[in-house]
Amino acid sequence: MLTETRLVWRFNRGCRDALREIYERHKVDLVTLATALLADKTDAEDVVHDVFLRFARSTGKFRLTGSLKGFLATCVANGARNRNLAGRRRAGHEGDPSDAPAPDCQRPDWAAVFGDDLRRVGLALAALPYEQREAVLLHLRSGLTFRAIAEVQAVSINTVQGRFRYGLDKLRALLDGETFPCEQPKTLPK
Amino acid sequence: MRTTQDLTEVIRRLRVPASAALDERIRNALSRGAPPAAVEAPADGPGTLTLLAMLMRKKPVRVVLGGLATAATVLALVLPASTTVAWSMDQTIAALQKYRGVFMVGRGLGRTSDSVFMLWGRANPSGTASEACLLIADHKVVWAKDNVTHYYEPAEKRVLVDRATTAFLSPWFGPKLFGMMSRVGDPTAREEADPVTGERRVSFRCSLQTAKGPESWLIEFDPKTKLPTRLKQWDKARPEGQPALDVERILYLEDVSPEVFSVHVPPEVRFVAKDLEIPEANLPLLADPKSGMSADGLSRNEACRRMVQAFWGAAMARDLARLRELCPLVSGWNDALVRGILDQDAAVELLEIGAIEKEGRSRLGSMALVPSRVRCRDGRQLEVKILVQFRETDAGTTSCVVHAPYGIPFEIGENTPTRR
Repeated sequence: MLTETRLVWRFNRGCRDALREIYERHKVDLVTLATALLADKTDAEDVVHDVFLRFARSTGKFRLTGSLKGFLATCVANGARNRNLAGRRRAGHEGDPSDAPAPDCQRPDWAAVFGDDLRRVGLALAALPYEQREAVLLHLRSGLTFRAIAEVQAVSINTVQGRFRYGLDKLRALLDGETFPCEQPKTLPK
Repeated sequence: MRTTQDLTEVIRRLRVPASAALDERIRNALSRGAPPAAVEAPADGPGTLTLLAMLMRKKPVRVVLGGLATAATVLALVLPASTTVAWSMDQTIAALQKYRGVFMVGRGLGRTSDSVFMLWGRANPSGTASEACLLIADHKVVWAKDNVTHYYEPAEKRVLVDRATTAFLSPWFGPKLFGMMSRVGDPTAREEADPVTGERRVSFRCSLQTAKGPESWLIEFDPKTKLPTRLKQWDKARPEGQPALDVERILYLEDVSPEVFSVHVPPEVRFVAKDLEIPEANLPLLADPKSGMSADGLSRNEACRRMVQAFWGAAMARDLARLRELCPLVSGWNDALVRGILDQDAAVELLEIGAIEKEGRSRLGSMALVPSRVRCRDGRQLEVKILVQFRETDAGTTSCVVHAPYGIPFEIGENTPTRR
């Protein structure tokens, strides 16, 4: 895109206004992606903050090889993955992040984050295994190709397509009326 | 919520605004100094013409590279089953032979803003690039003629004068470019009715996998005149959705009067010589002590003369290692790319090196603009200005490197006086 090319050109020459403009253009997309991946807005904003600081340091060396949105979304996905892994290590869970437990969807801020009408979507996404959630969000929301997601996840395209398909099936089932694990009615103590 | 489309829509609706705290943190971080080691860009940026030139120059070059290099994969000419049309690229190439001028009006499209431009151009004698052009866009007017480029900034009431062709259309949107395009894959075309005007048109689409990602093109031709009338370009494999560049009208002119490229500005406008500039981001490469050659004990003119001579010697001998040593900016380019660029003009003989034409200063030291004149394999003579950067060390030694040729080479006609 001409405007994006021009923006990156200015950014590479140290223009801070260009960097601010890049942030203003992409912040909502990136915060949304990070929040949906991490189910925690504070962590999500930390990731976006770190991504932008690192991006700012690349001035003069940055080469745009696709869309800027896709590039930044990939950086946020990598940052969110690292944070997720670090959190799991702190909590004593090692191994495949795909079997990570779903975030606590009872948190009161969950509806506040996404708004009441999209709360169930947020909950459904949070109920997906991390890799499936990442594949669904990067493809549907950030517009990354399966090939690009395969590079992010360091797996084959077939695996990504499988994760995407399983993720969608589960999302569909959850949004079509199945109860969420964290929404199951608690039995009253006898 | 049954279909993937529904789900896509729902997920796209997710929206989490950034908090004021994040805005503040980012703002503070930026004001504290990130990005480091860089200076503010000129307020006018590269100028739309330069950008347009970059777009128009590099993409077709990729097309050529895609056609020549087997490593580059031509994904597909994404044409539907073609109908028999009364058009071929050869006809277009033949029809374009008599045109030396072009007018374009279009838009560069971004997510939040569009940039509308009008452009007039006149091809150089060999039809490889523009020798004169005029661009009106973004509240500024840029014109290049006789190897001098003017940047008029009405708000500043000044015209920056650059004694080189630093705004241009290259390659020229003419027979040579379409000849290159026709060699990519097996081009076919579809004739259809314009949905707006109902007139017949021929659509040519192609999609390429390039080193910088997939790109696609749609060029429309008038089946009667065979001339291109419209162009769109996307930064993705399929030509769908909003294009990055939309040239809405291309009008070929047999010639463009030189008067078109003589812009009259209000009398209060000042004409100011444009300073020599090297982007701050390039300085670290130029500072590499392993590059360049010593200038100790030499006058500036003598050092420049030796440097320009060595530069052309390496370029003509295709000595890429030496070229990278003298001109560190190409050190990151692969051999095929460097050779491809050198082959575009294929200089075979250095005819003349002029005295320093202009001087400036960067953080590394003084800079000098040195005109040189070369003869190409096809007999053309070009004036190429070379920007030489001197590096002065604390130890008192001096060396120099070539930053790059300045602007595009200017074709010297039989009656063109050379500038010293």
